[in-house]
Amino acid sequence: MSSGQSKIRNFCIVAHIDHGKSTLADRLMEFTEQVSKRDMKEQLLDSMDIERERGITIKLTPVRMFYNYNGEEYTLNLIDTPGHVDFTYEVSRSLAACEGAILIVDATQGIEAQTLTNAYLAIDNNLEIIPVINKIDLPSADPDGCKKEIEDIIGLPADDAPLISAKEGINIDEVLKAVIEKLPPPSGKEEAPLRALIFDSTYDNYKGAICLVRIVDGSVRPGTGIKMMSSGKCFECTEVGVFTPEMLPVPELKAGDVGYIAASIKNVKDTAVGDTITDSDSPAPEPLKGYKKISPMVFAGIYPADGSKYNDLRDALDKLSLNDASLIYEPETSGALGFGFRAGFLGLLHMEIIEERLEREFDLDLVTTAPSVSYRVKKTNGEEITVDNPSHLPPPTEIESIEEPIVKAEIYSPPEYVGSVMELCQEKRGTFVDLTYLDQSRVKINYTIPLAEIIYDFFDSLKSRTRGYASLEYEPDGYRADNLVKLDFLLNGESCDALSLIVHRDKAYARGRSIAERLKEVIPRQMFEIPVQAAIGSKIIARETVKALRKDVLAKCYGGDITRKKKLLEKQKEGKKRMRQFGSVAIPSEAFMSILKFDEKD
Amino acid sequence: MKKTRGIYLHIPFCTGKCFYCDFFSVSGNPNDIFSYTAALKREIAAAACFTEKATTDTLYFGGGTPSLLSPVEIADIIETVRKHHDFSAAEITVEANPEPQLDFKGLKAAGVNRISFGVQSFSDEVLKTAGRRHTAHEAEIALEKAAKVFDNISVDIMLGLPGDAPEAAAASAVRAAGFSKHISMYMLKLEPGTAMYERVKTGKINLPDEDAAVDSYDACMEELLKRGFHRYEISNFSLPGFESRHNQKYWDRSEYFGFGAAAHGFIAGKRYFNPSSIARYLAGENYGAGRAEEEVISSEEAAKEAIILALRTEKGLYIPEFEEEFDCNFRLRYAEELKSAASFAEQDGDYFRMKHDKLLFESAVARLFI
Repeated sequence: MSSGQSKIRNFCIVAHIDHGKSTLADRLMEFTEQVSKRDMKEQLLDSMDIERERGITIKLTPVRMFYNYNGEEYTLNLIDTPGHVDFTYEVSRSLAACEGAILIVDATQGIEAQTLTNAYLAIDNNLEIIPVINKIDLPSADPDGCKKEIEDIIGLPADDAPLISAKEGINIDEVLKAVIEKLPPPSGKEEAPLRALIFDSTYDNYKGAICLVRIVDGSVRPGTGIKMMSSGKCFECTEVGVFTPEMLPVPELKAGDVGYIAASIKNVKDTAVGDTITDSDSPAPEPLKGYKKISPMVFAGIYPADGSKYNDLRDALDKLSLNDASLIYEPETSGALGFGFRAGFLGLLHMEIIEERLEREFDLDLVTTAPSVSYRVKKTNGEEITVDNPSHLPPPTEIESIEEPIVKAEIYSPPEYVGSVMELCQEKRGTFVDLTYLDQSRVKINYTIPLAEIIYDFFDSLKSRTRGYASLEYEPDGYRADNLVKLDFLLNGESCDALSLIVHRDKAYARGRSIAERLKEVIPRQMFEIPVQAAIGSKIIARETVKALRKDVLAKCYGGDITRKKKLLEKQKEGKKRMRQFGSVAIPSEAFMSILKFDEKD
Repeated sequence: MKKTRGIYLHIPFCTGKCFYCDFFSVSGNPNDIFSYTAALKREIAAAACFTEKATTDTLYFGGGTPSLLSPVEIADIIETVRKHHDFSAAEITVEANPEPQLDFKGLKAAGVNRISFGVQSFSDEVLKTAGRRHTAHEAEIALEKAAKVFDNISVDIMLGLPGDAPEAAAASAVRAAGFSKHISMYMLKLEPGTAMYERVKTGKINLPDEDAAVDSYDACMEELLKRGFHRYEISNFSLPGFESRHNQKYWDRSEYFGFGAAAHGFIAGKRYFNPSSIARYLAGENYGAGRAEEEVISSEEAAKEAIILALRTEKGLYIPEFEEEFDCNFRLRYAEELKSAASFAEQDGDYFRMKHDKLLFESAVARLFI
């Protein structure tokens, strides 16, 4: 029944971070009475605590809504998408499940880096785009300027773009009207064999791995035998449903629908995002076009603070990765930290969020090493290898060259800070590209900068030098060779692998010195003197000493102190257990991250 | 061998708060003090009904500033103790600020035979920064006056206060030794919530580093040993025979009553904690042995405590007594711990103790047994 599909619109909302995506999604749901106002929490689709606390969307979340237009009922499937640069990959996945996109532009900010990135992503996916100008209730709103920017920069007609305030609920119906009038309905073949695109997956303790799907052709219902086209694995469908945004079982999903399929799938790896699900009895000849897997940008070692919790950490990562296909990890072993994992992340925010989720949702104490990037190393024997763990860098004699990832950085700053921003970029080995005065209060500065410098302390430095006014966006821009060396740290004469870094040779001395100083601060005094040394190869470039402990005693202990003393000793003992024993030296967990700490002196 | 019991009386009044102090204390007017001592006497009497009698031979007025009580009030309290407890007054100590105007003769007449002065330092600069309300000169006059009346005087010296240095600390110890037969030396432990903690955190004052505090300790100890003092516990030094009998009870796990707000007692295998609130104390709520919040010390905990407390003393743990009380073989039960502790602690005949030069690492060994 193609008339069924004609009453469906599948769309997503894309925007720069903070331009009001989640608020508009909330408003649309409220407007279509998907949720009663009473149940309305701010940002309904952000179901994770972290999402609400930080005001960002991490996961994409679909929701089905009904809207009456000209006497006919339409089904609107909205897929909310993350706005942060780290999550571009998730955006591209949801785009593949839609026919159209609402592009929100903040009337006070105009087009920003992610507005463009996401708009181009949508265009690349052949989506119809509806520009919407938000925050028109603010005094500094400039809707006409915005329209002009949209037309000039993106090249989309914006004359009749709805002018809305998602926060105040102004002109929300115009958005719905535009969705129905301007976006094409899905055009799948209902009678053809089933083809459903998995755009996300999640895990439910009772239902197993659940595929979030867009049905392109055919239909699926409980009892249907389904087959994953990439692996050929077959399952029997146990439940299909839609998102309201809670999961709601329905009898059947048909071409054009967005919903979920459960099939008692034990292993989330069997629900590969981008794969096509078909009917095992009458399979489709060709799978749908998937999308390319994005590669992680930032790598770090993740270890349980308590070595015996390795299995718990593995289980937690397995579960998280069910929900987050962009998280990759593999086991690694460190001399200092024991058994753990090397994990790859889309960016620093992604890494922070994963760490936070592991600690909060799985109640784990973690030790993470300083984040690193992935280096391309050309060896003298002609071999080319990728190194994402600094301690795996071959000895200098075997290295022909090292290339590091570069990013295009876009920095927006008030004009008075341009000098300090450029100075910072220069210090961070940046290459100047251009500088544009956007208006009297804003300058856009473009640099290419090694990603390793960005993940070190760039953001903190930028904020501190511009009193928090500057903002930073970046995207990958290939690789570049540079004079890079491995900086090792020796504790009591032994090199501690988890502390190794790859840095530019010119900065090695300063970094080595400042990190050795910091290690001296965080490593508690022990029964013997501990030399802390920074080294390049066999050459020692800095040395500090953690002096031997002179006392380990409680000053007083009288009647009232005994219970307190016992508790204190127990706590100290617990604290010692949480330290890492490296040879004869005990290292507290925070030492491994401390080498990252922002220090304006550097 | 049945050990004798001790009594601790907490007098939580002070005219001001020293910057490093995190003890429970309030400023009190004479009326408050009057109602407080009345409640104290009620608790002393009530305790006798709740527990079996035992020979009690030490009484310790701690604070706060117990010397804010008049000799008459002190005599009254001592009398109450005598009336309700099996008390032989071997040692009655009153803690006092070193103020020349104190009525030492009155205190002696009340029955007090030992005064413990919170001198802390003989440097006016250090005293001022620590929020003490006396000068070095006043302390000397007070000590001189007291020494004419009391044979048994103790002086507290604090190490590691802002402005402290090993030479100055040693000089303080020498001056203190001239007037006293017992000296307690405490290394400052900066406690969160104190005025000093805030000042240090905000960079208004600097503390000498850990090494300087240990150097001060070593320098003081050297001077005291030269003058015939010996160390009998980590922080306590005395001429032979002048060790604090009361404080030793804590380290050998003798029983003690704790009377007063925020006081703790240890009676019949239970430790109890009176509430740190004068209002609640006056109202008679939840205080005293058998009524206050308490912790039952299991045999296993008791064994731990016996070891970690004895490790603080120069003499150490008397193994035969431990083995009898806990019905075990000490060396077998703690074979592992003893091996780990070997570089710090030693067995010497019937005793297990910290090595003489390792006493300041007592916690490192104690943690093995926790």
